[in-house]
Amino acid sequence: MPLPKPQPPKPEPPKETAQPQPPEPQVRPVVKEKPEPPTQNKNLMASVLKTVEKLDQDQKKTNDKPTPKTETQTPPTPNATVSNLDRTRREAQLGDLVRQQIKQCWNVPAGAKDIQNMVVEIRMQLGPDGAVQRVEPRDPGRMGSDPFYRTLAESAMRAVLNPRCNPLKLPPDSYEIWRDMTLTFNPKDLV
Amino acid sequence: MTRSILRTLFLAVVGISWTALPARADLRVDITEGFRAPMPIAITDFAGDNPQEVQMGKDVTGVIAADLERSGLFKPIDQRAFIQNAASLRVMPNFPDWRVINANALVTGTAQMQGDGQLRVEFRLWDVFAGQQLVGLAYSTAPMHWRRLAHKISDAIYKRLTGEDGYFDTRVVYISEQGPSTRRTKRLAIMDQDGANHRFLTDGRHLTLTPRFSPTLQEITYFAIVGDRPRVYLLSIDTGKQEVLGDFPGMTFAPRFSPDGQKIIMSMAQDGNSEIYTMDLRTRKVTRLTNDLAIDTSPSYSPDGNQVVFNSDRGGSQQLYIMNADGSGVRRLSNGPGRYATPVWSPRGDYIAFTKMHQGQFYIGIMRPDGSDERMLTSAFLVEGPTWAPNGRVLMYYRQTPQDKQGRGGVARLYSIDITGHNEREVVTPMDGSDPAWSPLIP
Repeated sequence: MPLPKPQPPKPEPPKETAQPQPPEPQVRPVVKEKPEPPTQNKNLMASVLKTVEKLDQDQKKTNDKPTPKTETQTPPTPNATVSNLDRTRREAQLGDLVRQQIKQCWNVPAGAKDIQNMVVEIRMQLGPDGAVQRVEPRDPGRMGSDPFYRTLAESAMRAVLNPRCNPLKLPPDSYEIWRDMTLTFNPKDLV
Repeated sequence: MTRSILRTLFLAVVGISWTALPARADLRVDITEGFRAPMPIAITDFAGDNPQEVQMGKDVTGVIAADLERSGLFKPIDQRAFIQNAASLRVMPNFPDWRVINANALVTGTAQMQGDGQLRVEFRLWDVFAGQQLVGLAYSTAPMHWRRLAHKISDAIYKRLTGEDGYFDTRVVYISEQGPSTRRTKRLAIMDQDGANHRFLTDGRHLTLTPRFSPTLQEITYFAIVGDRPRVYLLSIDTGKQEVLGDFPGMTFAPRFSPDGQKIIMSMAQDGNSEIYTMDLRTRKVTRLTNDLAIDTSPSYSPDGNQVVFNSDRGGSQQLYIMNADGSGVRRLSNGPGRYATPVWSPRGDYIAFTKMHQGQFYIGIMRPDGSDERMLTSAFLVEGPTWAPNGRVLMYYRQTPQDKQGRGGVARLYSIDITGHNEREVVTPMDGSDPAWSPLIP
């Protein structure tokens, strides 16, 4: 018996009248909800891939792992004078603070083709309160030509714009160090 | 039956220009940790101006939400959590209302019944954190095809957010099983990938196994025993016409189409030996690819058609091998312990899925075409017969659960799983199911 022959739906451009208004400027979010640990990121781990052999082990690890502490989000004691030598150490500490926060907001697009060989650099400028004022991938041209790169770049930008991570909690006295940041998102060890 | 589909994309790439920044060193931070979770997405009921349109909008969004949820990559947010009301949403999303419920993406739309009887559905996908539209499309179709229209919207959303083609506007053919193990009826059946529009293609008088879709969709090849003759058959889904493929001296089995749909690759067994052959569907020319005393079977083409993966016991145990499409350059692929069977090359090209048997347990696994990165996705008393979704991201297979300790009886069910090893789901069928085969995207 022949199948009914469905006519494929014909796409047309939506009405111009429904065109969106220009996007809101990307300043600090109105929302300031308290960050809560995401439900599935307890296992902030080596890999987000699952293999059946490792199931039991991973489960145990997950259960044993304490919930992420908030202490990492507390700014360290301000240091009034920052010498050049100290600056390197200071940058390392700030890097840790950023990592601790962003890893709770970066939903890795695991399973996308060749993502293990991809890296995306996100450049951002922050206000004194840690809120993202500007954010852009270093290689915006690739956004239009490589859908997997775009997926990775958009996941990175969603991470920094996520109300859980925006504004970033960083020590105000080092603002001149963290005002401009380049984050390199590298999923190699995750997928 | 098909017409190519035009689509208009309104892509909004982040459009904030980076005005000259003061020359100051950036703080550089490497992010190498994250998490994997379904993306929270708010799918609002598509608006309508009368009760019929409102109901249609609700039905369409219900199918979209179910598609995206089942993929395991998205988590539709409970509509009761929505803050912005439907009327103001028709004007413009108020993004803070959606951020507060942690929606990363938002879907809005309208359903209209037009004067010519056509259903017209518009939808828009929004990035909530960035506050901008990602895609906007409209589709028109006869109202009876509203489910396909919904699947196409699911595919568009999936593609924009993951970078990969979707797989929702597809069908699955499989073997529907019924009755006790001694008198089992096996019928070819077909359904949409979400289980809707289920129907039988054969009546169950003959034993039917291993159906495979043509990449051009209208045809299925499968193995059946008619009378006492085991043969490979071709079936046209549109006309219901069946034909035996070729007149071989031995039993032909394990057929698959070539990626261009022009050839069938299969095994033929004669005098206890089984070799791999191809048949050109237009010229009916038969070519033998293997010539070995071992059992060579289960061939599957690479998506470019240049290579074939198959299994063979030529090395002493049943392992996976790859050869060039002309039969030359045979090399062993699998090296782990246990036996390997039913290899299938991903349409994306980056993995080969297989069934593995080791120490009394069955596994569905994947590995790279160079044999590296072997991972087992699921395991059971019996899991077998993986088939790829057309985007190479999801596998479907069947699992049999035995009734007694000897492994007799029991139920067989279809399952799907993501290639990351997450999101294993049962694909519900009216009766028992085995041997699924996923169609390409419906044109």
